[in-house]
Amino acid sequence: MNVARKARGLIASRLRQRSVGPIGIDFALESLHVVQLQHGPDGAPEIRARTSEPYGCSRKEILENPLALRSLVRRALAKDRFAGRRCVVAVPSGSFRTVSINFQSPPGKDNEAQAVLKLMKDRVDGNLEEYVLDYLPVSNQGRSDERLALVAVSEQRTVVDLLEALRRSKLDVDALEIGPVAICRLVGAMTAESGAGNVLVINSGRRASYLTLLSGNELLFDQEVAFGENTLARQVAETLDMSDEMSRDLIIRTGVRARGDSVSDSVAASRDAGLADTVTEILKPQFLQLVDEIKRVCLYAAAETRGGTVSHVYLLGSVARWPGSDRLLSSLIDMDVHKIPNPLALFPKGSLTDTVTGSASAPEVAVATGLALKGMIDA
Amino acid sequence: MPEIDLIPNEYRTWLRQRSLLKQYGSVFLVLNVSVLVSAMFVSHVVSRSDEEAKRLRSANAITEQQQMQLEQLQSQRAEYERQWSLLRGLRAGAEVEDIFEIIDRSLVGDDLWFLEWSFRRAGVIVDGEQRGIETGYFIIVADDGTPGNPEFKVETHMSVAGQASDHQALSRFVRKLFEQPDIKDVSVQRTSQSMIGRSRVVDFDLTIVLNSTPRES
Repeated sequence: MNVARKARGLIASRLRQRSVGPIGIDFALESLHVVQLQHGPDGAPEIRARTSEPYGCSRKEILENPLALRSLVRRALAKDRFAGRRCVVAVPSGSFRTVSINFQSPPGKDNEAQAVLKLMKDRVDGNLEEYVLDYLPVSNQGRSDERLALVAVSEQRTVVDLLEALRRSKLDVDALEIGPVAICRLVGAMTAESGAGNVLVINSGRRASYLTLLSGNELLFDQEVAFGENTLARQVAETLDMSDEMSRDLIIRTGVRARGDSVSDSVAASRDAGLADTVTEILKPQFLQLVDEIKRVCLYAAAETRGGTVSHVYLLGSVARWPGSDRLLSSLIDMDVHKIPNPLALFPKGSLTDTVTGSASAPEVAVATGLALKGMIDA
Repeated sequence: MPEIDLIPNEYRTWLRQRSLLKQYGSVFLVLNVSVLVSAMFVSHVVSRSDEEAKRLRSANAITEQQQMQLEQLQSQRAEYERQWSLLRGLRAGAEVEDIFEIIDRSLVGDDLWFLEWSFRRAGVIVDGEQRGIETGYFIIVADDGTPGNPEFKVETHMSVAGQASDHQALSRFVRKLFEQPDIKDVSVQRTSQSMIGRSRVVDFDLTIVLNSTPRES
C-alpha cells in the first residue's frame, strides 16, 4: 500500500515537473514571436520551444485576414515542438492603451471595480460599454485615502475580432494580456533572486516607445512616448539626405556613441566611429526628449514608493538593437541602462540549441517569454 | 504577480456555452449513433430470430406430416393385422390329412364304408363375446375399416354319405368319432335300409363337426 502511494506520488511529481506551460504569443510589428516553457526535472521553468515568424505583410493585414493568420500560426507552431493549443496572447500595441488613475473606494473588490468604472467613464470616447478594460491595483504606499490603479483599455470590437481570429486559428486563448504585464512578469523572474526595487523598462518600437515602471512584482506605470525608430531614422535620412532604409542600415551598422566610448585603432573602426558620432549628434535631441520622460517617471516612482529610486533601467525593442544605444542613454540620464538580457538565456536550455539560448540579446522575444511565464513561476 | 486579462466576460461565457453545446452535441451524436447501432443490431437479431422461427415452424410442419404418416401407417398396420387375423381364422381348424386320420381311427372292421363325402368350412354366427385372436372366430370388416356385426365363427363340417352292414356298425363308428378329441359333434342326418344283391345294408348321411381351435404347433 505504501509502495503504491509512493509510486503514485512520484509519478504525480514527475508529471507536475514536466508540465508544459501556455504558448506565449506576441504580435510584434513585423513578426509573430512564439515561446513555450515547461517545468524541468528540478521544477524550474525551461524553454520548450521558441520561434519567430515574419508576417510577410503588415500586422494589420494579417490580423484582419483569418485565413492568413491561421496559416501563419500553423507555420510558426510547426517550426518547433510546441505542445497543445493553450496560449496567452498580448494585445498588439496600438490596439490598447493604459491609464494610471487615482481613486477612492471603500474596501472590497466590487467597490474598487465600481470606482474604477466610474472614473473610466470620463476617460474614454463614447460609451464605456464598447470597451473592455481590466485594471491592476497598486499597493498604496503613499497617500492613505487614495489608491492607484493601472487600467488597460481596448475597444471590445477589436478584442473580440482578435479572439475570434485566434479561435479560428485553432488556438485556445487562456488570457489576453498586454505587453507591459508580460515584461513585468519577465523582469520579476529575472530579478527574483536579487530582489530589485523599482525597475524601468524602455520598450522601443517603430512608431513609439513605452516606459514601464515596475516596483517589485507590481506594475506601477506604463506610458507611451513619442520616441520611435521610424522617427529617428527619418531624422537621420533627412539630415544626411538619404532614404529611410539607408539611414536605418547606417544606424544598425554604426550605432550611436556615448561621449566616453573607446574607439578601435583600425581605419574602418575609426571611420565607423566618426559616422556613429555624426548619427549620435543628429539623434541626440530625440534622445534628450526621451531622457526628460524617463526623469519624470523616476520622479513618479519616488512619489509612489515613498522615495524609492529606480535601480535598474532595461532597454528593449528596436532601438535596443542599435550598437551603443544603452551606453548613450546611460550617459544622458546618468544611470546604468542595460539591454534586457536574452530572455531565453534566463532558463535552462530545454530542447533549444546553444545558438538560440546563448547570451546574445534577443529583445524581440521578451514579451512572448513573459506571456509564456504565466502560471509557470508562481505555480 | 500582476494579471490583466482583456477577454470580455461575455465572450468567455459564450465560449463556455459553445463548449458545453459541443460536448452535449457530441454526447447526443454518440447516443444517437449508439441507439442506431443498437437498433440495427436488435433488428438483425430479430431478423435472425424470425428466420429461426420460420425454420422451426417448417421443421414442425415436417414433423406433423411425419406424425400423420405415422398415424396412417399405424391404421394401415391395424388394418393388415385385422386382415391377417381373418386369414388366420380362415385357415384355422383341423387339416384335411388329420381329418382322414381321425376318420380312419374311428373305422373298425369292414362293416362300414363311405360312398360320398364332402368337406366344408363355413362361418356361423356367435354371441359376440370378446375372444382371443387365435380362437377360430373372425370378424367381418367393413370397407371403411370398422368391424361389422354379427361375429362369425369358422366351423369345419364334413358330410359323409355311406353304407354300413348294420346299425350296430354305424353306432360303433359314431361312438368312436365322439371319442376323438378333434371331433366336436357328430350328427346322423339320415339312415335307411336298402338291399344290395341279397344283403341288407344301412344307408346313412351324417355330419361331423370338427373343433375349429387350432392346435399348438
